Amino acid sequence: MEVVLDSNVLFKILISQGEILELIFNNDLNLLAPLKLKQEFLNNKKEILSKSKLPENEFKILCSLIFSKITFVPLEKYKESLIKAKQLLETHTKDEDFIALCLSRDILLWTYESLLFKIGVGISTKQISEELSKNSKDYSSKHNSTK
Amino acid sequence: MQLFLFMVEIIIKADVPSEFKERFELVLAKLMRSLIKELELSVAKEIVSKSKFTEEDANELSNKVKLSMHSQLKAEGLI
Repeated sequence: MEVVLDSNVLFKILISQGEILELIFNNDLNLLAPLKLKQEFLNNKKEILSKSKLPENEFKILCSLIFSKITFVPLEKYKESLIKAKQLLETHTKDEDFIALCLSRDILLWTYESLLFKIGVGISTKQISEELSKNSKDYSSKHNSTK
Repeated sequence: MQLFLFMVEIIIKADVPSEFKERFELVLAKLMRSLIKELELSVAKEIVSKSKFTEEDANELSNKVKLSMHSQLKAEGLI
């Protein structure tokens, strides 16, 4: 399963004790995000460190672990879908990068933004968990029936 | 900012019957992937458990990042 990761999910990792982290490290989930998200996240390092009170070395380890699970996609790869993304988002103008990446790959956005569910591009943490669990059950039953 | 982790190599030696070598390697590779995943997840959970970050912090910074990304697209004349 493949989804694009919204910035709100990336930042919620810092308060997650369970489901988000479990999904990030799930090998059956392929995560994509705009390359700019990584750059912007790191640009805000000082503020993140100040608010999280995490030691810098541990923050670096966490970033390294999380970023290794995400494929960061440069703008050139989804630039052509930006206008379509803007039209879809209408007045909600700050998610173009994420939606354009989704449209370019025909996949959904893992998000907490309610509007994105209304326009049919969002998928929730719960929905991803359910989908992965369903896929895993399907695989097990197929595998067992061939034994 | 560059992120570096110092990696160390661990060598595991095992005696297995030669006819099982390939099967053993396949199973070991699968086990290692699972082991590494569990290890990484436990390290991430341990670090995050110390975080004082709040829901409001996450929403605030996420919005800040999105607005900056949007501004860059506008400045480049792409939207």
